[in-house]
Amino acid sequence: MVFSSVSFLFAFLPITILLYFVVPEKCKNIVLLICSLLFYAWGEPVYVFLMMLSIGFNYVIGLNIESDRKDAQRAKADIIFAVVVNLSLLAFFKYYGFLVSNLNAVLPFDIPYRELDLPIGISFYTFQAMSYVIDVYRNKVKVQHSLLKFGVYISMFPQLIAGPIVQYSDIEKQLEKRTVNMTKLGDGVLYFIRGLAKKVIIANSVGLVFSKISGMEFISMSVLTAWLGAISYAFQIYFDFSGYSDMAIGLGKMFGFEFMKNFDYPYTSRSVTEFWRRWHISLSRWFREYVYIPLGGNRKGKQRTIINLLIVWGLTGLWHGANWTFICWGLYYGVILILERFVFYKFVERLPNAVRHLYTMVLVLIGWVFFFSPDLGYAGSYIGVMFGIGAKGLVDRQFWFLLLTNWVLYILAGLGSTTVGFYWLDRIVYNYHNGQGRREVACVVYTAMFLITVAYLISETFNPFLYFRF
Amino acid sequence: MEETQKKNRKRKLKIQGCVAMCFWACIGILAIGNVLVPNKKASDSENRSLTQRPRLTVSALQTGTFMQQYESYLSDQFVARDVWVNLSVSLGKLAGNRENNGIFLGKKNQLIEDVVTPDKEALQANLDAINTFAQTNPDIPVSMALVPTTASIWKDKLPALATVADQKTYIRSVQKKVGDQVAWIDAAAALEAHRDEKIFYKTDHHWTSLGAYYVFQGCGDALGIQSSTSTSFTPYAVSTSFNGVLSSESGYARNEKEEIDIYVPIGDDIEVIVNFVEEQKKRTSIYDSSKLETKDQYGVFLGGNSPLIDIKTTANSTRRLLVFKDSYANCFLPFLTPYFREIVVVDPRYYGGTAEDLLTTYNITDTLFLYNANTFFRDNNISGVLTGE
Repeated sequence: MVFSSVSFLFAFLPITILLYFVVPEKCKNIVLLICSLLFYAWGEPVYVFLMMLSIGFNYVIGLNIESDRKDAQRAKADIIFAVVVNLSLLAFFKYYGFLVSNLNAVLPFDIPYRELDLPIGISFYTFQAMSYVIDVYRNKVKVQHSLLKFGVYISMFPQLIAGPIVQYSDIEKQLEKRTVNMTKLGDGVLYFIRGLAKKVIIANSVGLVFSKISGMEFISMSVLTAWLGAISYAFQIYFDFSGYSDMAIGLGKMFGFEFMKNFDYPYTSRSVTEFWRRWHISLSRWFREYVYIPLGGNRKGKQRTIINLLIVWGLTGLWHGANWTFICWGLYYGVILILERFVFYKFVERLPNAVRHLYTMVLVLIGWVFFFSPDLGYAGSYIGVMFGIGAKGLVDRQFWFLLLTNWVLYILAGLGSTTVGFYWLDRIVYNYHNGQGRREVACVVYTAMFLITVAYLISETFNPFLYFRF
Repeated sequence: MEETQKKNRKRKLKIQGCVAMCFWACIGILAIGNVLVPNKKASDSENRSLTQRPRLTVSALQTGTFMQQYESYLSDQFVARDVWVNLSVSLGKLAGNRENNGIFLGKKNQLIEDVVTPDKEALQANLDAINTFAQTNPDIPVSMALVPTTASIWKDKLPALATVADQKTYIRSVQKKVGDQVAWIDAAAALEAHRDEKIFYKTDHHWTSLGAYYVFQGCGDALGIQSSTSTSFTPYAVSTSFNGVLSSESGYARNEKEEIDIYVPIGDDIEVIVNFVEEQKKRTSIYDSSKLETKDQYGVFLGGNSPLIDIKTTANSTRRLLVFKDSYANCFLPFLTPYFREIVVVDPRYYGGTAEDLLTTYNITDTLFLYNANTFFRDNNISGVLTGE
């Protein structure tokens, strides 16, 4: 099930919240677990058993590591086994087809294979489970003896299918004890409405412009149309994904959880390094914690740092999908980050802010071309058109038409991806000068936002989450 | 200082509480409304049938089709669905949007369907089949009209800066490729000459009867009918409340009401018997006035699209015409009734038989291909009916 669906908003959510608030304290986790499994099963009626298997396996491994604690060898064997099994499951369901098709291209004979459907959210929950077993092994967290609580951690529906990737250590205490009250419920609602509006009103609408442009033939695409396409995609993926994270954070609050923020206005960054501190924070943090630092991070000299960065970024790319385009996308960032770090960081720092913004955005937009292209050939041609190679002139009527008929949308998206948008919204609702809150205004603004979202949702039959593929 | 901060925080919380109440109230009211309001079979304004509650079976659960259908059921049956759709369309319009589902909202609420670019292979197959048909039946004159659509004739009514493909070039290239064995009816020129009159509907993709009438006036040579008798026609309005398909599909101009005219020959009373062959139904009129009570008012012409219709007339003629057509022809055929003793109308999209059979069954003497450019360039059935493959 997705958050931006009629079945979620008007059936699942109200019923779940009602149940959760009615039952006594000690039953709340049970309600949350059952509802989460139903939520997942609604979208994945078969793969829900795979997730339950993963929960059971990692739970038992946790217990094993605890009992083998005295014997360092056996504990190590446990953790290696756990990591191998988790990664193999992920590899089998996500990368098997990709791997075999690449092997077939190289080998003289063909290995027959059947492309499997990707279980929704498997990349997210596998990473969460690994954060648990690894931290148990490192003695960073206590082992979880309750299967119920561990099940809640992995399957909790607000963050189950598209993050944020919550590390077990962040949430350990909240699983035992958390405050569930009307205030947090209210706070959560505001987050949720904003996230829903970001997804349904902005992401889906710019998504339409993007699919129109990406469906065009290259010979009929002008340079500016190509850039508009990349910009539309940049907005689409940001509002889609950060909207989803906002909804997740909001829903988490409703159930008494606090998740870390996943996005921090990435498009305001003034270097690519900064961009990655602000984009999908929970993923970068995971790779840092469980790959980069264990590899030695930057403590083993320059050469080793560069290799480590390339490994991390190649994996980050691969995590996003089983395709060479994603690997290139990851390595592309790896190279830029290495350059920024060792070669032109000092130089970039001295540039005026506007130039730094521009530099960052151009690189990020080119990055998105790799990300949205079905194959590297397409990406190459698209980037070519962006720089005038094979393009239909610099600008044409098609570009102006798209701009003219969507300019309000682009302004909204622009405001929404900088701090300005939220600042204004907040100032409309709260008057900080005289300490007065504008209660009626707040109710009207947020209710209108929600109702408009419902109207958009009803009017379109299709609204995929981009991050579902991962 | 700390006091006021604390106070502000409290107020902020209070505000959040209020917003949350509004939110849950909206959800509650709408959710209950959805349960209470009875389900509808079809939506008139969207011109389609609505999803009904899916049946719960183990296999539907397993494959997830139940969940998908349930979501579209909830969405289709959402309380006051039309109001929500209108709201989102109006907001889009306010924000400058002028295109929805491939339909442009042009000047003065004129809805314009985007031009279809030909599918090269299907087009070549269709043209080859038409040429072969003409060559293998040299005694049967073949004529053809490809009618340009609104986007081509009324380019100036497109929204500012909007571009569409050049349909007239596509049409000319078809004219060139069919060669001399096919008598070409220049519909584009006829319509272009009357471009300031209401030759297309505002909310529908069809031409009006007036548009059809002008093309009919120019087709005498090709069809060989002007010399025999020259009948004149008078228009009668049969509806003033037509809101067409483009409006349903885009959500634009839902309040626009249009007139539908029929043209009746003056003087000699032509009687007809219309036989819907596959439906095994007969009528005594080429108009179906019951369609005027439905959303699909253009269906008043011939009662909509049927695979095969046999129209027998009392016209003083011995000629029998075979027409391959799409829905554009429906309002054109009434003009031909005074000139042919029998008109056999085939819609290859729905018809399963072959042209060869029709020629012998009905003793055909003339053939006409009548399409609008968009359907013709999308169609891949013509060659099938002509070659029998």
